[in-house]
Amino acid sequence: MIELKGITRTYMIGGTSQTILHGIDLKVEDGEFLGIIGPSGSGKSTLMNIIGLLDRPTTGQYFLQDEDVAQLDDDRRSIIRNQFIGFVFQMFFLLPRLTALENVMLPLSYRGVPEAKAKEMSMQMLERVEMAYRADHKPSALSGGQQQRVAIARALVGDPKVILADEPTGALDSKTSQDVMNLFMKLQQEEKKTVVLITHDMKIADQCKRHIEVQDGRLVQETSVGDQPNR
Amino acid sequence: MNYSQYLRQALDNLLSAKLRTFLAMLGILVGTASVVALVSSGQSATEKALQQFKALGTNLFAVSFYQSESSGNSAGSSEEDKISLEQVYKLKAQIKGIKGVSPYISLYRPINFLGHNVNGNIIGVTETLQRTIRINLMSGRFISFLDRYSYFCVIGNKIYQDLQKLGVQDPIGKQIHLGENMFTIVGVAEKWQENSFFNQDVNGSILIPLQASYILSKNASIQNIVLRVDPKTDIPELQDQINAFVERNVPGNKTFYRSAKEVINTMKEQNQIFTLLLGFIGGISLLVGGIGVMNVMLVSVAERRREIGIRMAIGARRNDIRMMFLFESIVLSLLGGVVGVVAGIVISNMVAFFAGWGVGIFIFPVILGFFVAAATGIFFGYYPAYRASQLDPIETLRYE
Ligand SMILES: Nc1ncnc2c1ncn2[C@@H]1O[C@H](COP(=O)(O)OP(=O)(O)OP(=O)(O)O)[C@@H](O)[C@H]1O
Ligand SMILES: [Mg+2]
Repeated sequence: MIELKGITRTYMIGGTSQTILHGIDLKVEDGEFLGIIGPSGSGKSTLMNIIGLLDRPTTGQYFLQDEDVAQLDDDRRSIIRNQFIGFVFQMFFLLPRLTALENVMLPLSYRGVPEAKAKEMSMQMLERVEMAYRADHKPSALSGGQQQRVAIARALVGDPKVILADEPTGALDSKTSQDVMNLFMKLQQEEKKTVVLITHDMKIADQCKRHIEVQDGRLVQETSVGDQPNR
Repeated sequence: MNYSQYLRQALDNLLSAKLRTFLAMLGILVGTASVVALVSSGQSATEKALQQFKALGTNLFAVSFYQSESSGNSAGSSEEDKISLEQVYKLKAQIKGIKGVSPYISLYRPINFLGHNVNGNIIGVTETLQRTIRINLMSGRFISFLDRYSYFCVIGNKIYQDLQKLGVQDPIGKQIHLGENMFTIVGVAEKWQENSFFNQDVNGSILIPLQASYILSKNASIQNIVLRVDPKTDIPELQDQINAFVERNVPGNKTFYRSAKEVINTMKEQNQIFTLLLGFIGGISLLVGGIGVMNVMLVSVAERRREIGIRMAIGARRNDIRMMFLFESIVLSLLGGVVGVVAGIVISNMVAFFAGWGVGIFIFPVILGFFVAAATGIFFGYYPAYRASQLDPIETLRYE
């Protein structure tokens, strides 16, 4: 379970401080599929980076599985990212010099899984995202949708509790977007993952069981799939 | 990640930027090669010098005598202060470690051959000198024990050449004026290899029987002895014994010693400094190579910011990132080092071959080469690796 209490984030830019997040309170239950929407620059990515332990909040508390992780040191946070969290990015962020399979293996190698085992696990994961037949292709030889599938496999291969996806369909056409979204939903249900997904696309957001809206660094609206008769 | 994974990763990354890797490697290669080549050359030069020396025998020991100012006789060189040949033989008999004695006397007298002046020194010697400092004869014989006060002489190679210029083909049996006296040439020496225990140049000298020196000059006295000593002799103890002997028999003299061990040691020391200097010069080119590595690694870090951020996002610790880059620069430097060591050996052997120093591989420069190459990789790779590890993943992952 993810629980944020009064999270703020302030950046210092050239001597002046600028507050991007103003006291965010948020709970995400295990196995939930949460969408985050909001205008550009509202602070969605900043929020997700804090949830993903890539960034530290300026103030506030963050409980992950009931442990306060807001101010852990770098190494601890790296280990938690490696074991509990899988990232999926808008621009896929595969390493260009590695093959699809090697990209998927990477989180396992940082965890110290022996190579043969890592290969086997990664191959299975690629099969689940239907990319096994492209295992030894470099990312540059794959389409956007295919790259995102590989990236999803990489996020899932370490069996994390939480998947964080920052506009995972933002660079894809609507047909491919829907394919990727379907893959997310399928994996989320099969594996009982907690998914937090940022999107600009209302069609995507509506497929999430619950979504929240961020505006100017504040949560302004919570919607559950059940109670949105007006849309 | 463990070390073998870091290593594999480094190799993969280096192979994916072949040209850049090659250029950075080249700097290290040249640097290592010059360190190895220069230090090896320095060592083979040393070896060669020592070899020449050892060929003369490490069992040589030179004693020089100086009449001390403070000696009781104010009249200068009095007879009782002079060491006689008999005393020299007594010295040999009394001190156990001494195997042989070759006393000699240097004289300066005009030399004249058939009305032509010849430049050269005159040295009064005993028959043992020939073996002790290795004088080989071209023709004739050396000064003999029987010659004593006879007017016989052996001429050095340079003197022989001078006589040839005067039209003498075979000098044996010819007469030469030394000061007032006529000497008969009985032997001609081959070119003589300099020896640091004998302070005269045999090539430019005329050797006469030691006793005959006293006829040529009233002031003649034995001022130098080359001793052959038992190799097991304790040198300081030997010196004490000789000092005691001098104190008892010719108290007006001070002694000065030169032992082979001592000379070899100073020679080694000097050569070490020389080799160090050469190594330092090689080190400068390695420094340039190291700066090249640092430059390449900094560029690489800048280019791979995004990769660093991605790796951090999926769980790389700062140390993993640091190791990734550090291993790249170490592997780079070691590759350059290996090839550089080989090139250095080849170059130094070529130098040794053409200088006639004798070909061979020295272990020290090879180890030194690997060590400095690796050290360069670590030293110049550390800062870029550290910079990479301190990047903020958020910054690197933002869309630009
Ligand atoms: N490292 C930073 N330093 C300074 N300002 C930053 C930094 N990161 C983000 N910001 C600022 O914080 C604000 C929120 O950024 P954020 O990326 O969270 O927005 P977002 O909601 O994800 O927008 P988008 O939908 O365009 O991705 C922006 O005004 C941005 O300029
Ligand atoms: Mg964003």
